[in-house]
Amino acid sequence: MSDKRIVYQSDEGIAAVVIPAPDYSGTMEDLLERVVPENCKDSADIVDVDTVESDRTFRNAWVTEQGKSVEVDLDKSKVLAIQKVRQARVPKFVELDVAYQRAVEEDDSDAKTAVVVKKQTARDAPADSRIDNASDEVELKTAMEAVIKTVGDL
Amino acid sequence: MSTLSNTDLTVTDVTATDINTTNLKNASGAEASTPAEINSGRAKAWVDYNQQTPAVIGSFGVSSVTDNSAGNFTVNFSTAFADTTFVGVTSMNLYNRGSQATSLLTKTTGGMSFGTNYEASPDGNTIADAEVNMCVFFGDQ
Repeated sequence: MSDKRIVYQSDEGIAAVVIPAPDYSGTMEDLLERVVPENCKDSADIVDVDTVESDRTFRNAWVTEQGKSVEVDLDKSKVLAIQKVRQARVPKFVELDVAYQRAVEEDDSDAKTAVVVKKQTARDAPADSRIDNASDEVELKTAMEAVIKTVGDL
Repeated sequence: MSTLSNTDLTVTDVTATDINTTNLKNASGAEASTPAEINSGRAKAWVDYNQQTPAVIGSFGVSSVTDNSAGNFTVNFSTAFADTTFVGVTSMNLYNRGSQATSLLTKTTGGMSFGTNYEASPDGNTIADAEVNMCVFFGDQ
């Protein structure tokens, strides 16, 4: 198993990582020539496997440039974190819609008010300042998971 | 070159570089396959790939796998196919997820790209890394 990887910046603006097959017998330089698209070769490099990020939470925020291994772009990661929060609140909105409908049927104004407050909390979740204030991807992941838990607990 | 015809010849432990034949049969003279059938019917490449780690678990005829992004990878062939009429067959698994699918993204003679996703909610699918991706490829090289 090779302890090397090829990294390059793809056309989509995301770092691609080439993993050699276990029985690949050629050189990494040959592999780079063969599999990296011509227009991406300027950013391509052969790096040690342990320099490549192992936490894939913000995989689409990985970037690279020649002379470097993979790095996690914090601004792109924040956009992904907000998307994950939006995704996580979808089933909560469905649940709260049902609760509101029931409160209407029972003419329970307290229950209706409670649901309205919870829905507003869910709507505000993507704008939670803990996400925007995170100073690195570790802090961002912690903040994102906390916000998702807050939404889940509503 | 010697030619034998209308002769039953029994030989064991044959070592040969090239055998030019019309049919290959079993020991009873049945189950014939032509070289063309064998060539078209055998897999030219296969791979067992985990994109969550990510790692190539096993492969044949594959030089590497490119982890393009979340739920998106390319299988790179050791030998390019003759054209893009070749076929790729896949199966995948995202454990503990609901309805799942692999999509063909791009196809070139040198490789094929796939996307993996699952149904996160009735409103749509979510792209995600699959723990198991098994891909097999048939065609002319």
